[in-house]
Amino acid sequence: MIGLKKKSHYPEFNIPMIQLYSLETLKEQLRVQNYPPAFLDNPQFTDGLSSLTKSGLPTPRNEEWKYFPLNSLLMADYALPFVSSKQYEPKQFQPFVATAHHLVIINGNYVQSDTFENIKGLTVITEHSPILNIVTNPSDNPFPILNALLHKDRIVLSIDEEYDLSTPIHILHIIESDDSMPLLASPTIAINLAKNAKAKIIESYHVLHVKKGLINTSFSVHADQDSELHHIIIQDGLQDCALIYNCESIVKGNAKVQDHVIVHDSNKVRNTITGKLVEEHALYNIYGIVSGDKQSLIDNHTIVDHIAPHCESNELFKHVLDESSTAVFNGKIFVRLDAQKTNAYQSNRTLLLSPKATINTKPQLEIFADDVKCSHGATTGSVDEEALYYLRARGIPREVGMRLLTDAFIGEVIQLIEIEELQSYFTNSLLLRSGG
Amino acid sequence: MLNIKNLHASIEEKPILKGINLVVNPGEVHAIMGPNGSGKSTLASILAGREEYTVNEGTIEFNGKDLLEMTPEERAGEGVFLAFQYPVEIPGVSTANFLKTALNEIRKYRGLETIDAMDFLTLMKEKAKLVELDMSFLQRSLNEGFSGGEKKRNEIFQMAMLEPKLAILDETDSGLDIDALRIVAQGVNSLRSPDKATILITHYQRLLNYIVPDFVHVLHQGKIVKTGGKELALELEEKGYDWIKEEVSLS
Repeated sequence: MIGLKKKSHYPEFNIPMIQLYSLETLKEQLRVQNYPPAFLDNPQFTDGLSSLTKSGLPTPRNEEWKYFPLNSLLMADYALPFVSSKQYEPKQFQPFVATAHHLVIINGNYVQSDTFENIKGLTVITEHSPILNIVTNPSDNPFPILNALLHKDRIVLSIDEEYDLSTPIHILHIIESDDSMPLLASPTIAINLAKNAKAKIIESYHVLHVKKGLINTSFSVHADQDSELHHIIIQDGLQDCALIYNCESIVKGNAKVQDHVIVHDSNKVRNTITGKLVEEHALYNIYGIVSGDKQSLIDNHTIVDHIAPHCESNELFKHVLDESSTAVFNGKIFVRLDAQKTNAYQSNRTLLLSPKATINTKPQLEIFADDVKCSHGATTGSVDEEALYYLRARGIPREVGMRLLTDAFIGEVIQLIEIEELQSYFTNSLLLRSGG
Repeated sequence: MLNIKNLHASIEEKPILKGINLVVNPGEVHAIMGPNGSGKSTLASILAGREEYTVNEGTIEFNGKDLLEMTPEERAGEGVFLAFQYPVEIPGVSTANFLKTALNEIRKYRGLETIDAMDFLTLMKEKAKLVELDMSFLQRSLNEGFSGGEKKRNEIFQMAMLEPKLAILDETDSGLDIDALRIVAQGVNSLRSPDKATILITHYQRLLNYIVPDFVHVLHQGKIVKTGGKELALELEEKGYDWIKEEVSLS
């Protein structure tokens, strides 16, 4: 594609089928399939793999995965995606942000962009390189390592120093397969903001013709000094594919990163979203809206890590849970010994619309510095019957009233989306489609 | 218009209303007075359709239809309006958005077209003037952080917007200073018409100086024990409720 440079250190490789449930087998399969030797010899990978092999993939006994059973996801045979030659019009997917530049990624592998060639200050490259996009402790979260092993393209968006990309960049993840085998896609994206660079990035998922599948995304952000990133993650309509989404932002001095995740009409989603404040006066915000219905299981783990002093973080998650849905919220805040004068706030509120809906919420603050301001709060409740009666007494039917009240509940988080088009899209349509 | 016959009602098995009979015709203003705990607010709640109360006996007809069979929203659609004694605060829902939804749902119930945004805005401006409500209020969350007087004025504003056939004002005068009382009364008076009726529920006579009733009923221990003209309210103001209680216990 025009405007895209392809940097390939290794020959093309294809692995038609893998099994995740036995790591010894997986390793063997990777060798047999001529998996690039440099990957398997790189200590980052081998250490990860061997500790994975020792501890195995997480079971419900692991606190981090207590409410998110992996058995059914891991016990399947997966096909890895082949390169697709299809072309997609961003316009055919919702939400379509007309003012944005669009980047289409198919199964994490293939890049198609519309207007990137003319964007000053932005470079997009795809690379095959043995780099762990996100470094994690494999026994707590092996998925970034699996992603690194199994992905083909690492797509790197770099914004040059002093550039303010006022136009949002919309990354559309298209997940598609003609095969009846379950599909395992491993999208890998890295965002690098140079000093004083500014960008708005939207990510959305669109699953087409996939009977069953697993998406294992790794998204990393490096925000250099004075830079700003507004990152919106839309996880909507993921019925046939489970999503395991890992995102980590490293925020430097005076930089600001804001992650905003919206989960709706999706069956099984696990987000692990991390913000690391590594230099003074960094700001990290993480906001979430979770709308669950049917048998859905939506699990959000957030980690806000205050490493440097004088930093601030704000966190607000709201859940609206209907029918037999379950949501998990685990919000960790670490304030390291050196991180004096930290301001860290966390709030998590849940509206249960059905007696069968469940929320498991756990704020987890570990504070080692002594001069800090930290707060957290969690509330859970059902719709205010007094308010509903008041609306009904004014002629508003029960179900319309429920929708007004749930819209009002999540409205606070929607208003924090700094892209007007998206804000009005979610104000007007998100809960209208869920039927309250 | 409204015909209540032998109404008995209870909450959690505790009887509150013990045989209310009341006929309200179009154009009339009825005041229902009575000491605390006499059942005044229960009557208002039952008319509006609050579900906590159980009607054990009796009927309520509204324009020939069985009111007790209807949901609260159907009653509003038929033209019943209750101005709440304690209006509920609803964060995140603006008064304007709330009223537009309410008005359109009522119009839908009546088989009318929904109102467009421009006409709605014009209507809001006109009605806000009636109760001297600043337009900026209408963009704020419904009743959230409103003072007592502002909440009551907002109730009358909603009444003006929805143009009910029967308005029930449940202690709308309580907690109002004299200026707020005047504004509220002015709003109510300007909405009086030959085809509409009003029921004022109040503890004090004060409101009746501003909104002159055609009938005054005294409610005591779940029954209407005395009915008269506007002069009855003055008598109550002068003598208190004790003489009524005595009269009742004697008879």
